[in-house]
Amino acid sequence: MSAVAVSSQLPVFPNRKIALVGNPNVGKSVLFHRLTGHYVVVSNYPGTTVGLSHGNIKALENIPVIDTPGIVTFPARSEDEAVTAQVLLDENLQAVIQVGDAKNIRRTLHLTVQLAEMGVPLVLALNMFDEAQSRGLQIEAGKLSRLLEIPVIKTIATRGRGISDLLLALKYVPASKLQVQYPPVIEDALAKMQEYLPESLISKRALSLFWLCHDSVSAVWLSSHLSAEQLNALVDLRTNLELNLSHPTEDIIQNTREQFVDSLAHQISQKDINQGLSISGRLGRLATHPLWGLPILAVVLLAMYWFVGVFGAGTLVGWIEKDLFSGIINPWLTSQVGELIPWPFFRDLFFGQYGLWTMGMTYALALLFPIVVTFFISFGILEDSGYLPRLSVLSNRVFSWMGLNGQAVLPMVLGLGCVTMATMTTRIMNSKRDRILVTLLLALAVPCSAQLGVVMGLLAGISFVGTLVWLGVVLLVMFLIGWLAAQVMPGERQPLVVELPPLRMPVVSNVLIKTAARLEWYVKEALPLFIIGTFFLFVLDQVHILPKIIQALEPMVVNWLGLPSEAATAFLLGLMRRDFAATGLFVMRSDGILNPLQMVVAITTITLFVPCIASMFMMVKERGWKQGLAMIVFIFPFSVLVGGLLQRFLTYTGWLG
Amino acid sequence: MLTLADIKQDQSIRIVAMPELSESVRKHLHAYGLFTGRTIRVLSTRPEMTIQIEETELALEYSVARHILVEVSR
Repeated sequence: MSAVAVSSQLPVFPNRKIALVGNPNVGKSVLFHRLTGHYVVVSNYPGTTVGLSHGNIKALENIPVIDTPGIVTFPARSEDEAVTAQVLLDENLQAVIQVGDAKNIRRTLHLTVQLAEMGVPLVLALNMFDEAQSRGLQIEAGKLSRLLEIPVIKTIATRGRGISDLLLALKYVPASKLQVQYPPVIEDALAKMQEYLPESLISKRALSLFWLCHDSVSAVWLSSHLSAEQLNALVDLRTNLELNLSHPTEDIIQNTREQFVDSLAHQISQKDINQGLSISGRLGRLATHPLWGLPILAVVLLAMYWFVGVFGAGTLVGWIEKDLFSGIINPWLTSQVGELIPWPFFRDLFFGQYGLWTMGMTYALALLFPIVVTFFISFGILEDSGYLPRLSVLSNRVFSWMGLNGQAVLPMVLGLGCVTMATMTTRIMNSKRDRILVTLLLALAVPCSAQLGVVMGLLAGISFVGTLVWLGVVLLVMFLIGWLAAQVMPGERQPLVVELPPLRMPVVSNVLIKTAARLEWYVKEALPLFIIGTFFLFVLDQVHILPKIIQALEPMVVNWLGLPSEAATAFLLGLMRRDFAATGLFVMRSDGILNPLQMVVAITTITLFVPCIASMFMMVKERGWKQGLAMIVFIFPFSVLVGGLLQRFLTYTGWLG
Repeated sequence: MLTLADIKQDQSIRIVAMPELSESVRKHLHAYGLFTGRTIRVLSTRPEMTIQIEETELALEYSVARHILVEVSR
């Protein structure tokens, strides 16, 4: 390899790119944002970057940058990792920036060594440098740079520190020349392979190592660049080597690298004698403590309930929905704009009882938006504070009864805000099986904030025992159906393995940016569903089918659930718009036609129902027609069945008189 | 043979092998640097196992810890 004068600036070649590569959850996406100005939703969960993000660095002649999914080690083992490997094989790269976690220096260097072996121009960004320092870990970046012969830059991406140094380093980065010495038999094989290998964008040595480790991505690449004869020769070479070795070749190669990394880490880093546990460390322990964890959880939930339930759903909705929309905007629009529309059909379509504006948009913007905003803010705070993974540890046992692990707690808690949104976030679950289970449980047993509103309102008229009966039945159904579904569903339960990041004070700007990105998501993906739902209802109303459906439901409501016939209207309309159900049931309560027993039956049935028509669309959107419909078709009769059984049970035992 | 599930709080141990763990779980553990030969420390044992690898805290449930063979480090 020809020597490159390090002192001169490398020309920026046309059609070349820069790739960001690194372990999962080391801040690649934040750094990408710092370099390009593009925002990618960042969270404390590994695997947030799915697929590639593209951007440009303005400060470097607009050179294109690719943000890759996290990779642990080569060979790639998941689809995401394969994407990263593919980029290294296919893209003509000006430079690779490895983003590494400074405090986990061995883990970082393990990947550095493999990237450097590829002979690509490599810069190591030692990110989260502040966290390493605060833990008493001293790293000599200059020494590391000399040992590896690559630029090593200390960065703190969340605060923009080290970015200018990184940009400067990118201008002068030469191809890396590092070679780790493997045991002689392997070195022999590597040498022999050279003559068969074609020219590629990564070094022949790295390509040979890939081949010996049975890497599938490079194997596909090789098979398209070599003749069948050459490939056979490579296969023979590998097989012969394996016959001579007592361990799998990959293990030997990994162990050699591990020893190299270990000696490297010893030379460049040292840890101060344990300074004892910091306050954040202590609080982190308490948060997962079997005893103290629970009061901490109670405080967190109470604070969230106050912010989302009382402030968001109460105060803000009061201002926006009652004062602004019902008081000013809607009457004005209906009278001013509505009057201009000569056709009553279109007037109704937009401003009627089931109008796209008066019902759909008002619901999505005035009633749900404040709840969703406050919810996302509190969720962002919880996420950035590092509390959520601790919550999943605390709740792991409970979820294991339902064939899930503690990670399911995230969408379930989100569901208490808005089930439609929570259904969308099941994407963070690792397996398809878990996504299906959580989607089902969300629709069935997790009451969303709007449903909770109805429940809270009616609870006032019910004894404490009644409240317990409602809670008990819902929890029982959740565990029973969760357990049954987990038995029926093919696939294994995923055990809980989760990183506990340090507890830290959330940065206000990060929480706000995150909230804004999620709101954009809400407006783009959830809001249209509310509009479609309203349109659906409008059509039902126009063809005068709603009264017929309500009539058809009445016998079931009266005979099976033992409720007054008016409840049928509340149930059906409530499906379209929660507050209608609430109003309907409130009126019935104040008219005195609902006794406590009937109220418990009504709120239990409503809780078990799919929350709203938008969440139904979301289930179909996320899980496909078959699964989505199957869940809906199961949930409706099932919730009515449970409601009726509860009514009979309560009547028989004489509880709630 | 000693497994991670047998280790008490604040003990340091070395990973010996991880047989019988599914490919996906093993991959997940590798992601945190839990390779054979690494030395780790047990931070707490309830409600699940919490271990420290370098400066990373990792919680894993007992069904996983039982399949990680370890030896008490020197």
